[in-house]
Amino acid sequence: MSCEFIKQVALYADDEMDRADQEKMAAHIPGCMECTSTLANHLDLKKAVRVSGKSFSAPPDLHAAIFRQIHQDQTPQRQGVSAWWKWISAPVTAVLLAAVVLLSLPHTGSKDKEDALLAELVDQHVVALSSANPVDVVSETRHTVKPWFQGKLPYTFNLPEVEGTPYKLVGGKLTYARQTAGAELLYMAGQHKVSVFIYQANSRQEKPLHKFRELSFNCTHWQQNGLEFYMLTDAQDEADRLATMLQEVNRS
Amino acid sequence: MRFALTTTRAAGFQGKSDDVRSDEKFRRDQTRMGPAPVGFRGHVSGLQSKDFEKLALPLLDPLYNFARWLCGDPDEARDLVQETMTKALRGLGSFREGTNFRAWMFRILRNTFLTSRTGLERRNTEQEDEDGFEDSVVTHETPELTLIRRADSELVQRCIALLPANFQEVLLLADVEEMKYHEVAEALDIPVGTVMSRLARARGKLREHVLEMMGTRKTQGIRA
Ligand SMILES: [Zn+2]
Repeated sequence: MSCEFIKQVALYADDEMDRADQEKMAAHIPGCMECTSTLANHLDLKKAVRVSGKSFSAPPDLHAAIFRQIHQDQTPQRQGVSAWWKWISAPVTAVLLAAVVLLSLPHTGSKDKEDALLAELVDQHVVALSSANPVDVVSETRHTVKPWFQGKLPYTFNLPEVEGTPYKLVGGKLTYARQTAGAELLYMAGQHKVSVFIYQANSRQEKPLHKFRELSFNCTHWQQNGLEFYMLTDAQDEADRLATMLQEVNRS
Repeated sequence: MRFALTTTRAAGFQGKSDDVRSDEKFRRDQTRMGPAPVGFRGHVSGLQSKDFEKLALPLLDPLYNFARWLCGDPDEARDLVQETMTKALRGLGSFREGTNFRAWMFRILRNTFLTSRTGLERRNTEQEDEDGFEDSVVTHETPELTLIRRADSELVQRCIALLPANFQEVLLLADVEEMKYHEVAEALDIPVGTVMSRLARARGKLREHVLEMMGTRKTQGIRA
């Protein structure tokens, strides 16, 4: 003998009933052993599938590739690029794209190596844009974020106080580019995400703020006090002051 | 498997799977004038690339996950997702307002998959029929209660992999992506009734597999 409601348990578990039927069901189930156990079985199975079926997540370079794809479609002059770059594996693509950028940007004196680095940083910024958990240390205060990097990196840096400014610190994470570990800090400038990468510089040379475009991002580069900074964002000028603030707190 | 990336290939993508408008003139106009304005061609609203980015990037992991299940191979899955994005971007203007964007994307992905070599192979293998749906909606004996709860995720994964492809996809969309029946129907291009019967059969099969495997493990004493 079967309960007359039993066939509707699946609909109930799937939340596919209209309001009235749902209420009827909700009232019936607690008093019916058969429906209760069937519902429990349904929910258990659904949960098991939900957990086990979510097995794969897109590799970070796919995030970056898709992001480029969307932006290349927006800028017609780059459309010729989109046809071929997909045929090549991502690391090679990054290098090739960097080469394209090298040709198209008045980026005098820069080495191929630096452009490859930039491509890697763009990828990482894109991951920060599209990832649900973009940082490893989540904190709005520099007093938490800065010490988190201590012992993880062979150098230190200072972070500015952003309270009372248009900026908000989201957090930070360790990042690897050019086979070296660096710090990535994530800020918000209004609705825009801003990634700040801090690496140990190759020289003690001081380099002033230099703003340029890389793919669809605004980048700012500078070098001071043995540290090299890259700031990437899709904001226009909103993040300029943040660069200056970072520069100020890292003076020797 | 490789996906051709040319426009002509996308234009050959039609018939039942006509979710990306293949009209050449339409596409040319669209490229020249940007996304189609509201009201263009009746209900065609045309999505801006800017909106597309906001809508599509969060779907990347779900699409990739689904692609991995369909293809069973990371490189193929990767290509499939990229090809899906290419087609979706080209077909932005044909996206109708009020249509479910997520279902639309999954539908493009699946249709693209079905035109790939792996997909064609799959189409040539027999699919589980949906007869006997009524019989499968039986009550479940109480002893299995909590048994499934104890199944580890790797075991369930193997059992999902054992399911016929048409069962697997309906289950993944309904229970992993937590799509409503009508969304699943839209994504798979099948009637809602078929979604329901297939889902019931898929769950029944999966339950069988899981219990069977757990039973085996128990008798073999693998489980501590
Ligand atoms: Zn009942």
